[in-house]
Amino acid sequence: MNEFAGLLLLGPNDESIIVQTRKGNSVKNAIDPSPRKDQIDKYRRLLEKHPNWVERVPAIGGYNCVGHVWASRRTGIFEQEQIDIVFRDDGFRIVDETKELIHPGDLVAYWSTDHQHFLHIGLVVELRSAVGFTTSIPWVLSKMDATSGEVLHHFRDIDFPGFEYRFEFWTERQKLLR
Amino acid sequence: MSVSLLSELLTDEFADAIGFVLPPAAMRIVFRRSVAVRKLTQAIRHSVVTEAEIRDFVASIVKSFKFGEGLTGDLALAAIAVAIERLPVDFVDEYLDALASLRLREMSTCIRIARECIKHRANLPKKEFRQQSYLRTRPGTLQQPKQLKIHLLFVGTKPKTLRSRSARLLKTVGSSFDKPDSLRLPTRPQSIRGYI
Repeated sequence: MNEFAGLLLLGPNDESIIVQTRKGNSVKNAIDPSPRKDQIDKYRRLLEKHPNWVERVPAIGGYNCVGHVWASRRTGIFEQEQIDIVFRDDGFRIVDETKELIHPGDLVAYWSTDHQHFLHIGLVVELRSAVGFTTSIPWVLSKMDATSGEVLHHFRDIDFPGFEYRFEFWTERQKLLR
Repeated sequence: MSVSLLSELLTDEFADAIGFVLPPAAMRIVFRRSVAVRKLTQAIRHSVVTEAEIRDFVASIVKSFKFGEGLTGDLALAAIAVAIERLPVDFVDEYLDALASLRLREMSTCIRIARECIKHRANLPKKEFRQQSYLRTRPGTLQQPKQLKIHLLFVGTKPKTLRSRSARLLKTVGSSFDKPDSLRLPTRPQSIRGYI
């Protein structure tokens, strides 16, 4: 397509780093640029819709939610196949909430209800007790997208337009902790 | 009307409706479910938005490209990719292939979405259309054809059975044809593949 011809001539300038799973498989990744002003504005508008979110880091580029939890904020991991590889290779398992408790350091992964599409992932950093509840409620630190900031939020205080979602808690802990 | 449908993809309202940018597979679904993209698809199907208008719109976005800075129309290009993904025209392949072949961090979202669209475009259901050759004689003339090609659509039938069937068919039709052995019996029925 002629309209993109000029861009083709610029040559590739995508950036990535070496990320590997515990089993040594490479994980495709990409470092996106810093957010534009309109992206920062959009993030602020979406932040206003969630008054209970606590911002840890303002809008920043370079990594996304997956890069936040698995690549130490150095890069973004975008493809679902890559996410599946990490879950498998790094020995993650789903936490059965009826048998064990969630702990800080566990992950919460959001999927479409049909489990076809991976939506988001965050890191459990806090367990807050609530009046009337016997169990503590996980609060999650996550980066909503590659140009947003990092926010601390209740694990259910999140929405994905166009999707009904389900969540799963994942851990790499081998033993059940009660 | 048509221009506004395209320029709507550049508005804050559209960006807010789309929400945060999800991984590409999920993001493609978000676009597909968005009202603006659905409207655009319909408009393109009914030629309210033309290929030329899309080209002009894309050109205007590309013109604003700056090195090291995210492209302003990144989401709009991604939305167009999803809007046209299922259309059976060459322009779509051209658009998606060109976009997917880029490796620019400034417009990473639309590139990822285009790659995702290509995956799904390749998976679109295909239908085999029957191809027939008809006699090229004008009605009323007695010109005898040298050979009649009969495209046999008995898929999975053994060639021997096909020969005997075609011989029987020729007997009933009459003796105005060559010998049955001279019939060309294709091993596979020829077909034209096309998108629905």
